[in-house]
Amino acid sequence: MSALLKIEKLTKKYDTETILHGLDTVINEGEFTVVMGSSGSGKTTFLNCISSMDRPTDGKVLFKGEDVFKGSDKKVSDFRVKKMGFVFQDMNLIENMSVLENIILPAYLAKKIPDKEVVQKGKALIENVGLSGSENKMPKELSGGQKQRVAIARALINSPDIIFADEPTGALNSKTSEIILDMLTEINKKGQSIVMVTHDIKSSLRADRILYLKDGMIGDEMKLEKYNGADDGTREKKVSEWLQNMGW
Amino acid sequence: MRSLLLLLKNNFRKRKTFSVSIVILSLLVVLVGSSAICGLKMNGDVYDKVYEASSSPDVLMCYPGGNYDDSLLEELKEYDNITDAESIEELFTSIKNKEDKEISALIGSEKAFDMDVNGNELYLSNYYSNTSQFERGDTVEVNIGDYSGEFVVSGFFEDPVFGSSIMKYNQMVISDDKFNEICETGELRDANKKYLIYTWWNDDISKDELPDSVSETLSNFSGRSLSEFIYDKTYIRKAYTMIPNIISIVMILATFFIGLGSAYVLRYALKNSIEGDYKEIGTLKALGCYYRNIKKAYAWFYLFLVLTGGVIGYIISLFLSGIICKVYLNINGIDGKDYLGSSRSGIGIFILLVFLIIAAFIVTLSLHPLKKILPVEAIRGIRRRKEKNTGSIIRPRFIPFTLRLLFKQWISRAKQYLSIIIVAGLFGFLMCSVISLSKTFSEKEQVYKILGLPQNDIVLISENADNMEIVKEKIASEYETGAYSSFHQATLNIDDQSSVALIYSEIPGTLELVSGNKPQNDDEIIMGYSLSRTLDKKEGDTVSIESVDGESFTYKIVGLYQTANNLGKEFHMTEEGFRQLNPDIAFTQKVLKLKDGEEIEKVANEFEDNEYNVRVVNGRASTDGLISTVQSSLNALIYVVMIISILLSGVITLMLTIMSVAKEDSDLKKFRLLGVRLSVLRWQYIFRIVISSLIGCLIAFVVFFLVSDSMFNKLVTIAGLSKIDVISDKWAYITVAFVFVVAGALISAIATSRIRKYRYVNH
Repeated sequence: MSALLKIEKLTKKYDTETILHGLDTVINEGEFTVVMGSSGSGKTTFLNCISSMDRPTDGKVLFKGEDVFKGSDKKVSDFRVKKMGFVFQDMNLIENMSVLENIILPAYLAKKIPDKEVVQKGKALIENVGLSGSENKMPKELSGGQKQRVAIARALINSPDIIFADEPTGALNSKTSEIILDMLTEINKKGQSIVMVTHDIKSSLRADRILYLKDGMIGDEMKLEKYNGADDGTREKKVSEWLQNMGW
Repeated sequence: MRSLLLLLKNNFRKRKTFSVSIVILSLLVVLVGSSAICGLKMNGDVYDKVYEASSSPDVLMCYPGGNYDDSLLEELKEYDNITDAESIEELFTSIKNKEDKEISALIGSEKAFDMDVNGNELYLSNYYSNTSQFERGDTVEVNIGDYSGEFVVSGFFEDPVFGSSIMKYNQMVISDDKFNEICETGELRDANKKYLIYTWWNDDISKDELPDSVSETLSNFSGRSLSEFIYDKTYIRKAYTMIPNIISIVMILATFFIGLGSAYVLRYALKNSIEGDYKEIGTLKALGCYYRNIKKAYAWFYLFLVLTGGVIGYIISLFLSGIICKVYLNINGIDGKDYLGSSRSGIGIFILLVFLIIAAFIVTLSLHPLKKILPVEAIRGIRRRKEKNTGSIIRPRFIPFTLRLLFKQWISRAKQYLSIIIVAGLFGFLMCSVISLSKTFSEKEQVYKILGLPQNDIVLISENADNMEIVKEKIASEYETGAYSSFHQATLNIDDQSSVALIYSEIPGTLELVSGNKPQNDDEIIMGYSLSRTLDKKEGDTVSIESVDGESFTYKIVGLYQTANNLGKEFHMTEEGFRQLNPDIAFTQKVLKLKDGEEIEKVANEFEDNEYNVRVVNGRASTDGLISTVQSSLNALIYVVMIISILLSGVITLMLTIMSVAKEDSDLKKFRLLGVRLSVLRWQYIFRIVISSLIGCLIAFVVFFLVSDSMFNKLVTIAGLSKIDVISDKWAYITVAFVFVVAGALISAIATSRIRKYRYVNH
């Protein structure tokens, strides 16, 4: 697998407090990476920095060799809308836009496909995430799980190289969480990279690799490939043990 | 009580933006309204005091030189209603102001004015100073008859009788010696003299009764038809208060508009507060707080804001009304500083109370939804309101996506921007009105038509009709001339109403009729619209006019015209028609129209010194001052309305944009997260203001187009006119839209500057 995101000496400080201490890592193409760590370890800050939502204080984030933060706000915004997709715990849907509008908004911003096709693609995605007939509904009319499905569809509209997910199942019940995780796994299988922050062990089992952040540094990483043949129980046990060793 | 105070404090901390807006708007309502009305009242009061203190007459009569003799004065003294009468001889001339324009003037002697004037000193009515025509030390050349001399302006005096721009003449004072010298130099013609008769009437005749009493008492007075005019003090007061009245009406209209805007902002702020505090209200209810107490906390808070703004506005108005009063007095050349005294505090308090009551009503109405909030639902954040999908980012496709997004964002928040639409609509309408009025009054010839002022370009004055013919021919040989007619002005009793009659051998073609036609027969007259209303007469009705012998003659009104001349209380009749009333009258004036109005002054100067003893006068000199005053008043109004509009829309734009950015914080983050550029985010706020302002302006234009005619026609009745054809100027529309759009865009750009630093991530 070739490197999609190369993170070099990533440092983030807020005033005098250093959150990330010169992190180095690589996110490969088609890889499902889970970021874990105890509260305050810098997981979300890490995700924000590598997804270009927040500028690091020092260090580089290279997307296919290109420095993400090199250039104006316009360039960074364009880069984000074209190459990345986002799924968050609180869904972040625009309240005064319908389901369809929420999904196709990034496509309009990216201008990668003609206007006519945007709507068709949006409708197809609605169908894919199992929300047929809901395109004109408003976010307020949807349940938490439905909202997250809309957020996933939105993240997919521009066929991004990578999807960043910050606790995507944090606000959902276990049944709905499973559905969402299945969807993300499915997306990953189709070749899109995923970086997901979570504190849920069951969710982390979907990953190819788990990065464990500790006090703003990468404490360790665990590759789950070697347990690919094992059942869920075994995988869960292995991950739990590893996490315990890390001080989880 | 403590919990109530806590709620009040909490409210203010959370709603600084709205709080400041409401305070400013309430301040403006009370300030503009109170200042306009107080200023007007004070102006009237001060004027009355000045008039009283200067021992000015109850009734003023003016006679051209040839029409006066002392027996008239004696006759007047015989009347029971008249307690005293005196006559003053003055010299009628025209002098040149700094711009080399001729202005009509009456020159009196120091004795008549009870002043000390030495040598070649000249004292002028304040009017000349306030209109910047003269200042101390200026040299004025006076030419009367064979006399020619230079005078130095040594000071100014208050003239409550002739000091208004509406008056035909303004006065000047020279020393007795110089006055006598002029009178004794060469042959001073009667045409150079005016006799003013001042009469004082019984104290038991009230101001309101005076006009009727004058008409009744003087019905048999032999000098009535010989006089140029007879003005009672209520009439003179009207002339002094006409322009301040019009300015104040516009200000009161502005107050009404600001009041509407304030009411809307207040209601919107309350709705917004209830929505914002939804959870909090639920929690308070759950904790056992009474609905009444919660309602009180909101009501007290908002009424306190209104009261604070109102009280500040009221305090400022105490000073501002004095300034406005001074401006009004200055327009008419009255200093009045000794009588200014205290402001009419009661009016301000009354306006404040009325506004407070209206605010209380709005507050009570707007707080009603508080009752319906259920604690269980509110705590859990459940709202019954359904979000509607307004606007679309998908269609229409021919519009670029960014514009579609901007429109959608605006449409879904249109209610929020209603205040901008209202302000732009109301003040756009007001600005259109004032700019169009100013445009209408910008052309001098147009003003003459609208105000129905006599367009007698050149007036020839002589007792010798043949000589006047010779001079007229001489003028005609050098310049292109138009209508030429005999002219006389007299005061007559028409249906027992003392009115000014303008007598022409041929009624001027420039006089435009509102209805009917010009007199064809001697027993026909045309009447000023204002006089026809006073007499309750219309076209086709007959009126009775008394002759010098007291005999009544019947005349038919064949037409109506509008005029502000003589405050509209005048009528035109033919020379032959007038001879029925006064067969012995000698017409000593001829009026001549020039084809080119620019040549009036040149002709007057060139033929002023002629060998035929004919006075050649610029007939428009006296009315040009009035026109300049009207024009400058309208220009000043444009600035006042523009400043209020920009201030008000500026404050609302600033507050609304800051509030919207804060309220949409979460949406802004989401947009940033999705890759929306900062510039697009900023533009959407600017766009919302621009589109709201444009819609407001559009509404203003439509309303202006629909109602301006009837509104202006009602407004001009104050000046004795019946109708006014306002020239609506496309530049007025463009200026109004430009002012609102540019001011709004700039202010919203400033207010959104914090968006520049917007990041998805909260640090």
